[in-house]
Amino acid sequence: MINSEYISMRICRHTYRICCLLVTMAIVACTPVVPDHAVPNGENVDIYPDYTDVYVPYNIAPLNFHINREGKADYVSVVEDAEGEKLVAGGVDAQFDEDEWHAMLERNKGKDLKVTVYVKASEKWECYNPFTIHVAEEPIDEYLSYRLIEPSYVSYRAMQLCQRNLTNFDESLIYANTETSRQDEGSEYQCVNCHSYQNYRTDNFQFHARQYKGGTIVVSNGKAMKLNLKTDSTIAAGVYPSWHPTAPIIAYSVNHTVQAFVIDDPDHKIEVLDTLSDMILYHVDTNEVQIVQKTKDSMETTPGWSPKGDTLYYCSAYHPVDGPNIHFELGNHYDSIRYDIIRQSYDVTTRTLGEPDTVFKASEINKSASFPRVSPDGRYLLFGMADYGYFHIWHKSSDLFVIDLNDMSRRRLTKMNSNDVEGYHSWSSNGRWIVFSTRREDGNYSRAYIGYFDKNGKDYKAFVVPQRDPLYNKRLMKSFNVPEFMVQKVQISPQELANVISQDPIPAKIFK
Amino acid sequence: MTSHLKTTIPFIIFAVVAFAYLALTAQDLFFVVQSQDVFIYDGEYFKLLAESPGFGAAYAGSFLTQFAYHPLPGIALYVLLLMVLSWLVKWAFRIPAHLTFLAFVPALLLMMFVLGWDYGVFSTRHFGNLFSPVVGLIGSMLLIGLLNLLKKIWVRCVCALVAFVLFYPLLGVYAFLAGVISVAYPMVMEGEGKALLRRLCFAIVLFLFVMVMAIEVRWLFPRFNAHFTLMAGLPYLDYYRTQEIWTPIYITGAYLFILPVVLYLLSKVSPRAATIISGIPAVAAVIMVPIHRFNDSNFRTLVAVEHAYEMDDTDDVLELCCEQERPIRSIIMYRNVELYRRGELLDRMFQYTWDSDTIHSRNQRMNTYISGPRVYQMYTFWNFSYRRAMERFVKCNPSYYDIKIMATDAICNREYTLADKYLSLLEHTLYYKEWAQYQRYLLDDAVLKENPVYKLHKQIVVVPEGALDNTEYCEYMLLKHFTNLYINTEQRAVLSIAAALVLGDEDVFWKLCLATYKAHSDVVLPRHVQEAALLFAFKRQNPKLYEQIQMMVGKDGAVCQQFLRNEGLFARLLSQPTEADMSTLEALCPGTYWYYYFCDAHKMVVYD
Repeated sequence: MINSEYISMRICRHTYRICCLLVTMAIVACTPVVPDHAVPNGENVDIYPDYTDVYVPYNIAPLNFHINREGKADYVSVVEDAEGEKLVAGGVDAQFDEDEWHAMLERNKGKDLKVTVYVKASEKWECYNPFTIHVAEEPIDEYLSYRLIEPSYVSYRAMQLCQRNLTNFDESLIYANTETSRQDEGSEYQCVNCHSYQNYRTDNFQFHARQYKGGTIVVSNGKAMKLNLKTDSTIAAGVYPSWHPTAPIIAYSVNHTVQAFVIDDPDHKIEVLDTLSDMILYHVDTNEVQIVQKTKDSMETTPGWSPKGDTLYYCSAYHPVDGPNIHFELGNHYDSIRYDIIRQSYDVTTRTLGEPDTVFKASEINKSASFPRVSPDGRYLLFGMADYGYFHIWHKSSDLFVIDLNDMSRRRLTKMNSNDVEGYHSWSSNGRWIVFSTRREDGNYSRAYIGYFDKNGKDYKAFVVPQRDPLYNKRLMKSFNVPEFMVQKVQISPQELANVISQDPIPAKIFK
Repeated sequence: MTSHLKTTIPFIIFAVVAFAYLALTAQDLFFVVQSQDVFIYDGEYFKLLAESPGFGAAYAGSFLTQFAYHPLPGIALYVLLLMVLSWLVKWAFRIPAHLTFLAFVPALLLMMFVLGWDYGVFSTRHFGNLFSPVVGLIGSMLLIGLLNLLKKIWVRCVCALVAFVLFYPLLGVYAFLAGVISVAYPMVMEGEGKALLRRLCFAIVLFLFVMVMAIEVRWLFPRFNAHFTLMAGLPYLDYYRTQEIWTPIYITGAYLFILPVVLYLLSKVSPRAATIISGIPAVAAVIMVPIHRFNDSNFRTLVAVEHAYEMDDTDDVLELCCEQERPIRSIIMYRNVELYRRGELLDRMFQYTWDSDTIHSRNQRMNTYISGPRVYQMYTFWNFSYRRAMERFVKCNPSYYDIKIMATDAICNREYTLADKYLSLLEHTLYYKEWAQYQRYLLDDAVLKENPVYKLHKQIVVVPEGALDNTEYCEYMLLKHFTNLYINTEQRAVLSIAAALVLGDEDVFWKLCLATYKAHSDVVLPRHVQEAALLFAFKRQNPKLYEQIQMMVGKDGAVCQQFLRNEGLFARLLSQPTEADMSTLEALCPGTYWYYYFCDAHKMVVYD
């Protein structure tokens, strides 16, 4: 008996040793070695995503990339710092070890990293011209939330609000509309949209569920409730939201939105426009809707609070609605509707609003502004600007601009913008990073890009949110929509949100 | 007859008959089901399917469905798997040789299920629908058979539970079926120990199954709607308002559940009687297969047309469309587009019936939804074609069909990076790889500009810059567009005149006729233009104009002679037509614009 036990123990030990040896051999065999005598080929490497010469936060996930080159070859990609420390990845997809990557970036805050790609297509190793990745001194907020949705027209089906840890590749679900869809009741899916957080924190946030079991889901102090924000005094329920940074107040535009399809322009397939819109405030603690703007001859939309919460910014377009056939008129003249940026002071204690003040009259230069967002330090006003309208995510002319609120000077973010759409944008909590949606990759599927905005107000080339599989964005058949930074993860579970959505909405009262 | 033969002969008969029947009736259906599915050799595709329990059956089903690209080998593979399933049923339930018929019932029910599909194949929301039920049931039978090898009931229970934990994610409800069947009978009917205790234990095991499902759905499939937990692996999102299509699947589950009882009861009668009784469900299923089949003539034609289009056999498309007696609007649209492409639209479009049928589908379906992407693409409305394909892509599962349409639209719109995205997807497929690789040569402005289809676009789609259109229905949008006189080109004139004829718009017709044919007095007018011109001139009661038109179309020509012969009839038809006049018209002038104008045009057309 002892003998057999001894023998089996010996077998186990040997097996374990052999396994360890095999694993070690496999690791050694798979670890790429930096070629010694590579010959520079004088060419710039073509990589996807384009991470050349970008500024990145020191806590960002590894910038894995794919080497675009025809034909079979061996590849080694080397990230090297000024001290000569190296991070190596082999293969056509350079995927770096997360721990080593973070250690290297942590050591190199405020410094540059040199990336060299080696290729061996025949007998000899060659190397491309190295490129630089600049590591910024400022970190990025740990989480990013977004909606994943096809670049769809009228129909929609599975839609997800997701949250991504930007320091690694973890993505988790905030809510998926499949949670509550009930096809057997004859209804289709909900449209979930417009997620918004109070001051980057997730214990107070909101999003909308439209159509089936529709309502606005407000999570207040971690507790979710479903609301009906449509009142007799307002034209619609809340649409574009902005949480007050400190008080339990959400500013909304209320919009009657229509969309139309462009017959023959590949650069402009859809036009989304409002026929009516106003502005309201929703007081979460009292469940009251307060009207900010209810005008007959103008349309207000896309509100955004100043960081102190004492000013409400929004966009407004002059457009009298008394015409006999407003839909027809808009269909013919949609490209003449232009939005200016307006602001109104707001006193939280008295709940009173000041007079509207025009910050930027975009219509004067035949342009149209949207989504005014003030930087956390209160100095810069970031907004989108295109030739007309405010739903710029379908306008190729749309670019990001900033106004320096100290001297009201305006400038285009030349490094961040592209020839394609730059749409929904928001600041990181430290104001050094801007995330935005752009269709620059293929003109159709929007991707979340992050750009550095330094303390002097200078912008830098933006980079796509990194993915473990560098070709992920090429294959993904969904768009990243409404990217928003968060400093923490959403705690409430998708199932809890589904339960709340299944309930009847609480009707909001009108603030007298 | 030996026991071996008793088993083998039914299998051979089943294989031959099933293959012959499917080959005769379902080749086009198999192809279309395949084209409305997709299997991409890619990790992302696997991840997409892995969001729902039962993904193993869906993944394998989708993998196998791609082979229906070649319908006959696809059918052979399907029949082979049905035979495997039947053999496994026999093995798992230990069906004796003389009762072998019982083993074929699930296979026959699956055939019923597939042949029962209607226009819903154009909007399926699940992957691998054709093969996934077969794969799921094969997995289920394997589990039952293996668990049946365990003699100790308690061991079997534990193993069934473990198997269920492991296989519910892969097989979904098929694993549940296997688990319940393998545990229920020994626990409830035949096990050792006290009956009450055994039944109590069965209840506990069932409860554990449900708990396992709930936990797995909660933690492994957070994107999956827990409401459908017990339907995981089934195409539960399709045909949600039409339970009759589902019936064969329900019956299959119920049948397998009661099969042990049936076998137990048959063991109590003589083998001969048992054989006869066992034949009853099998015969019933055989009879039900053709009865349950969706044998709609328009559906058969439509799937044949779609198959022919994918094979680039447009002659076959036109032939099929022209042969259809009372076509749906999709078939009429395809017929016209093919006539237009051949330059025969104004000569032949009214030779065939315009009296259209509605879509006889168990669920509401729209012609625009089914044929919109292709029709728009053929008329070079690439934005609208892309939109329609994208709407389907969003509403249904991704399909080779829609990806191809979107790739082509993107190429024609010179959105090369977007086109590359779709072509790259197709390059990771088995049968569409070559097509995608071939399309890449068009990703070049110089090559594209020489492409005849691309050139046609500039002729046909002439609109003011940024013009919008919200018309929901494809056919109506095209008619409206072509009769709208922005700028007319020679290519577009044909379509515009055709649209004016269809809508009976005399003013537009005259304007276009003058603009198009005045400059070419030597050109022989197309047949239907001659017919319409004579009719409209006669209708105006302007002798001078009437005379001029007769000269223009050629007084001695067949069309003019036919009109003159029947002038009296037309006069009556334009004033107070009687039923007899209509019948006379049908007898004397079939296939003419006159017949369309007086008969078909007045029938209400519902654009959808």
